[in-house]
Amino acid sequence: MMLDECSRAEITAGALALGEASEAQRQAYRRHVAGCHECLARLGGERDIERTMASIARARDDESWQPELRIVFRQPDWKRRGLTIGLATAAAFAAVWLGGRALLSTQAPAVTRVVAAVRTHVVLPLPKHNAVAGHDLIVLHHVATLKRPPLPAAPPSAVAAAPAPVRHDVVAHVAHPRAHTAAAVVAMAAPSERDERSVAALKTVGSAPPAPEHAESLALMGSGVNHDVVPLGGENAIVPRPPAIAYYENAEGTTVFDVSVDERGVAVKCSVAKSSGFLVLDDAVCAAAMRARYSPRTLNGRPVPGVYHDALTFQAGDNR
Amino acid sequence: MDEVYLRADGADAAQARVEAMVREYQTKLARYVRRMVGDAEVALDLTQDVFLAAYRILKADPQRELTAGWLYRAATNGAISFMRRRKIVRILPLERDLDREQWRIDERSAASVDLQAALRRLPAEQSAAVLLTSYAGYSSQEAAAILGTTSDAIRQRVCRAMRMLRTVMTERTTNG
Repeated sequence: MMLDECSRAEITAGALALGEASEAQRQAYRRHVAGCHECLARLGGERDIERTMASIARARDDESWQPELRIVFRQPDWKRRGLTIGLATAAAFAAVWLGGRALLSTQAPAVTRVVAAVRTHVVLPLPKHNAVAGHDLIVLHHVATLKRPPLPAAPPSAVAAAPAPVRHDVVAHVAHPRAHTAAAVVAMAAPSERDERSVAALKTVGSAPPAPEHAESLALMGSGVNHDVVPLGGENAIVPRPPAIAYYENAEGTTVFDVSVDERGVAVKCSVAKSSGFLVLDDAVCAAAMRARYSPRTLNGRPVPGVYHDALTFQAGDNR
Repeated sequence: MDEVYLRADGADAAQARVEAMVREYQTKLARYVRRMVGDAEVALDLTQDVFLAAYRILKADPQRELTAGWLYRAATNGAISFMRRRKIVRILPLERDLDREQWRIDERSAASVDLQAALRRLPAEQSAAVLLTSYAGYSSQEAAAILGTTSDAIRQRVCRAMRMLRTVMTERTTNG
């Protein structure tokens, strides 16, 4: 008998919490907890219930998280998509065939050029919590960066001689812990495989100190140890986790991204320099890049803020 | 992000309806799922799965009526399935700490962090009952329909969940 009443009181307490109790139920609850100390301790009085529910409401109202859900993504037209995939795939195969030689890709639009060396690929299985099997996404890891074309006033031949007309972020960020230096990459590439303008820029890179845009830093060079920003754990430390939709839709493309890293090695900003064509892939790359920790750029042995450039190419697995 | 892009392969009607659904429910649904699973990225994945499922259903049958309740039911089922699987594979206590830290970064309100701390200790069914009613605003009858149970069962789950919520939130109030 008492057990039934206590069970009923529990349901009534729930109704009170949800504001669904009638006045009669409220009175019955009051009478019950007045005589049943166990229920009073377990379920609480009306004030306790109200306070708890007010706390939940406050938590809900305080919530600041704004999800940015991009269900599916821009679907590029098939010609453009086919061209992109074709070039990316050709770049990957050519780089593998050349045994790690530098590849001067021509896939980028006129404004930018991707200098890439395909190194490894990582197979990303569909997230475990998603029960659908048979979808894989392969990430081809490039060490790549954007090279901006020479300024109109400076002809390519002058680039090699002049120390500063071209942005040197190419040099600064092609270097990788397990990769060749930019100069070495150039040395390995056969002359016939190179675009002359890019070669000129890379030669400059090989002979001139990095980051010449900071004129004051030039004086400091030579006496200390200088490193560029690199992810701790190597190039495979950045592992994107695209959402399931990317697997279902066999999303493919190359995301070129820049990560600003402060002097502590913490990523502070990620920007997509060249989209893969799929926002979910770009987002996954940036989220992974922001999660990673970095060894900061050092100038004369002193850590300074820097930028890490990289690119990831996504390919749908064979078992699509 | 309001815009949604889908394949234009003859499923325009389904696309338009899912677009409208996403615009209206993505925030509520993703927040609800995040409260359930305690992880923003997983919540986004699961929420996307819900909308993807909706899209597939509507693509196959454009006349099918899909309500908000259906979205919540699918989201709840997805979240509960995920939590059950996670229980099996979860091994690192560090992961829990990391999650909590993440919550502190995402949510600066103490009440919000405490609610999550309490929800993590609740069984999934109780979390769902509390969140659907006091968080998503459904009545016990509506929540019962979504979860496939009775309204009394919902009230009972809410009551039992409140004990944990009261304990955690009172601790916070008492401590400062």
